[in-house]
Amino acid sequence: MRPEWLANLWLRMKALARREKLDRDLDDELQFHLAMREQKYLEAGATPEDARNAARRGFGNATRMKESSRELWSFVWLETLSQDVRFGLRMLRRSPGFTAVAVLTLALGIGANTAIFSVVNAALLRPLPYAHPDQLVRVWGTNSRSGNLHAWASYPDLQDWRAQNTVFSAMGAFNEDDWTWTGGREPEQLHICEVTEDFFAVLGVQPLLGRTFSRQDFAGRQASVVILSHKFWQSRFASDPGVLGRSITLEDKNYTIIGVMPEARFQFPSPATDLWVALPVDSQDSSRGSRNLSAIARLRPGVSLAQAQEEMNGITARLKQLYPDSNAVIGVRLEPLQEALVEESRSLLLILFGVVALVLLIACVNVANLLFSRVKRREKEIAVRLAVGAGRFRVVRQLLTESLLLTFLGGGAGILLAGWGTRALLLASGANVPRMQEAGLDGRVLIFAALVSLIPGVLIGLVPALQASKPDLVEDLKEGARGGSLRHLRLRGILVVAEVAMSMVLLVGAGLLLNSFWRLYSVAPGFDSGNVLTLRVSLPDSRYPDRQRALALYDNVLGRLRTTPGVESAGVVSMLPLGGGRLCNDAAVENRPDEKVDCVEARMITPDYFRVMRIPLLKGRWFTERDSEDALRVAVIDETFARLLSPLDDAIGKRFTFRGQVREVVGVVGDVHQLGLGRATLPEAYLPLRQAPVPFAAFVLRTASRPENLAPAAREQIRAADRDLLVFAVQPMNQVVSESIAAPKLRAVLLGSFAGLALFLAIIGLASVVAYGVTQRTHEFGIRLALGAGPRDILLQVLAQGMRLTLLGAAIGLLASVWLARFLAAMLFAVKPTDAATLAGVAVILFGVALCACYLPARKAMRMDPVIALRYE
Amino acid sequence: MGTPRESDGDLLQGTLDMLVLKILVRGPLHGYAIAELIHERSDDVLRVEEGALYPALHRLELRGWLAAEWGVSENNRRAKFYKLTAAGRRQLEAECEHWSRMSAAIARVMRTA
Repeated sequence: MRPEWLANLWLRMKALARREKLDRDLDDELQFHLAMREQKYLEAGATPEDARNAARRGFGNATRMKESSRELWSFVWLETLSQDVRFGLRMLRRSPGFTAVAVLTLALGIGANTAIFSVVNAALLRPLPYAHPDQLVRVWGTNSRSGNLHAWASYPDLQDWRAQNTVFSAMGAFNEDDWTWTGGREPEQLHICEVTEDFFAVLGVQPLLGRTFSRQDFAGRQASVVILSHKFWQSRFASDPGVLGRSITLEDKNYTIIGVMPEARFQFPSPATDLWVALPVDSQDSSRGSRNLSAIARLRPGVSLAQAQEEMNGITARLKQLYPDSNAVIGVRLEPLQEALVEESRSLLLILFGVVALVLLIACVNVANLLFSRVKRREKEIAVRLAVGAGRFRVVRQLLTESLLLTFLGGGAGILLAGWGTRALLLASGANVPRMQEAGLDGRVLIFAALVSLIPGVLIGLVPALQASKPDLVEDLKEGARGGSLRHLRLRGILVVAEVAMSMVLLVGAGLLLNSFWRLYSVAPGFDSGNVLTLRVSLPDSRYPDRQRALALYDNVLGRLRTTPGVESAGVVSMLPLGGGRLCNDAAVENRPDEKVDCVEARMITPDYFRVMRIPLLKGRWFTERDSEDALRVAVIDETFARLLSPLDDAIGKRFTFRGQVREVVGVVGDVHQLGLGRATLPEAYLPLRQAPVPFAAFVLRTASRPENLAPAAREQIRAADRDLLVFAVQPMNQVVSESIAAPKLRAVLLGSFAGLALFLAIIGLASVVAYGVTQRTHEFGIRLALGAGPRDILLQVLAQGMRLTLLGAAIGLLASVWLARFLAAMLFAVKPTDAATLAGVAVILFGVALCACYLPARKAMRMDPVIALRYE
Repeated sequence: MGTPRESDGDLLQGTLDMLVLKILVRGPLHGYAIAELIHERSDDVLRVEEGALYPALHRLELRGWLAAEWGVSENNRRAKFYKLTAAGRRQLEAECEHWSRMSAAIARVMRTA
């Protein structure tokens, strides 16, 4: 037999469906009973009226009877809830303005939180999609001289680490590069990842199709097999399952496809990776000093990170003694792979998370504030309910239901906003943040959204509800009682102070980042980027095996470009400034053998490069066509290098050994910020391209009009010179510059918009409290006006009330932000976290806006008619 | 979810249930008739309050011991008639047996004490 509660539940469920009929039946049944009774009394000789009364008297409380019958078949709590919800919805519908403002406010707060959380969830919380992700570590090299904690590893070091350790079950390495793919309609640039034998074993992933690399694939000098990423397979091979065994041409060499990796779960090292190729053992640079590999490893089960670190320390200490020349300053640092992947975005994400949490808090305080004034207006209604016997719990529950309705409406809208916001965030940050592409609405995000709706719903509803449900009944029932409103006003004042303080914190943060970005933006890069078009090329070894052919191509293309209409001058540079690449070598100063200039940047250029970029010549001369291969080895250097090379006298004529050749300085040019507008200028040596040809370069063109317009023509000229040559990154130099500061710009814009939102919300809160205060004091103002106070006095008084709140909030916010701003310190350029100008500027904005917000209600108070005001109840 | 409260002081809930079931053995009756019959059969000693009767009827109906249908009363009014179901009959037997044992036991105690 069924357990009784189950049968009960079933009956109730059935009853729920035909509740109205059951109610009607119950009514009929009781009516029938009454009628029968009445008839009995009539038959006994009573008058009809007496009979009816007697019947009713004997019958007892019909309502109570119905209720107890009804309780049998209904879910009482559910009905009360639906009653509350219906009533709540009615109340919300009745004041659409309030509802819209509250829902929108909450939607913004909840939406922002959900969006940021979905990114935090994808990048920081969700474990890597590999087997036992907690065992995966990134093996960084360290350099105790330069303080670099993120150095790469050399192949011989990697071999020793791998052979000597007992803590890892596997250790592998990879190297990312951009290769040219030919064979499609146009040559194309692909992001490839060269990997060592154990790479896939470390990550523990299986291919979707085919196989991963085996030992034989690493033999010889030349890899010949390739594994496709899922997205590459999908987009270029239309997910053709027969792709295995086909061959593709990369850098003019043929590779056989042996496998396809599964989607989404495998995007290592980055979502941009198109292909994985084997890194042949024999092609490895066997010098210990040549460090270009990124190592990863998998811990043996049961081995902790600390144990592994300790053993690796021992190994590097031995290597230090064995190879003092190359390894004296080299150490190893292990970091969980998950953290290593998101290291750069981590602090930004956490800061953003804190920021949106503050925005949500402000939104909640705002809605609580609005609810306060509503509850205040309904105090009479509530007092009546309490007076006729509603329980306090019942009243609180009703009010809570209303606030929860608000937050759930806001939460629903917020989730929609979040979906949109997440996409916007992904677009704004580009594909560069690892794992961010995984962001989306999963179960955890939805639970989070539900929580950030529920908790504020309870908080913002509970306080006003509790306060309203224990009013002084007598006071509130009396029309026009103003006794409780002072207590009320103070509480709302505290809320506004909190709002102002929180938005002050956000404003200071945004102000610092904006100020910092502005300073970065105003840094003179050392060249003139206006009207310069850049195009990059990469020459494959197979067709350009020697320098003659490379130089011939550059000459050919330059000749064509110079004669293109709209081009004023054209040059070649090995690497664009601010373009992300660097090539640096130590330079030995002639006649001073013990002196070395560390890490001098090298740029190979054609003579016109300086003219195109308008880099000023300070001393000596520019290159000419006569600085050819057979001529004297020369260099033009920048001021920074000149100071290091020859601190006391003229650098012209000085000689230094650089990249294996002695060069004479023939000119000094102005410093250029090569690595970033926010980074110091570096010692730089410009070499004539003719004397040091490179297989990769950028063409730079000074154009007469907008550089974008010339892009197709310039591209065509390069194609005319070599149809199969890959031309990429065709963009104006201005864009190169702005992309180099895209990250700080994104930070400033994000924080700026959130701070703006916060300020907007706080000001609404402030204005509503001041307006409420004016309403409360209408009577008082009437008396004052009647007694001869000028409208000005009233105005000032109202403004003073608002400004007092603002001042208090701003002061608290200022203290908090001085403490909090240090978390931003790492993101600031040329601005201290306690920058006085920023703080002052932010305060001025805050007070200005607050003054405007207070002025409207104040003006209303000022224009009050004393007669009407006195009558106001 | 509230449990049904018993507002009748004189008749214990189980006893009222049993009486209702017993009265219905003869055939379908409406609520009023049930109350009247109990009153009569007990020689005007037991008076069933409506406040207890109807919740009891509905409870018995929900448990499946009674079935109810709308019919026409002796004075041509629409009334809800209750009748025993097979399960109700079994329940009545069980309660009768239980009742006899209990009353005999109580009687013995009262006699000897």
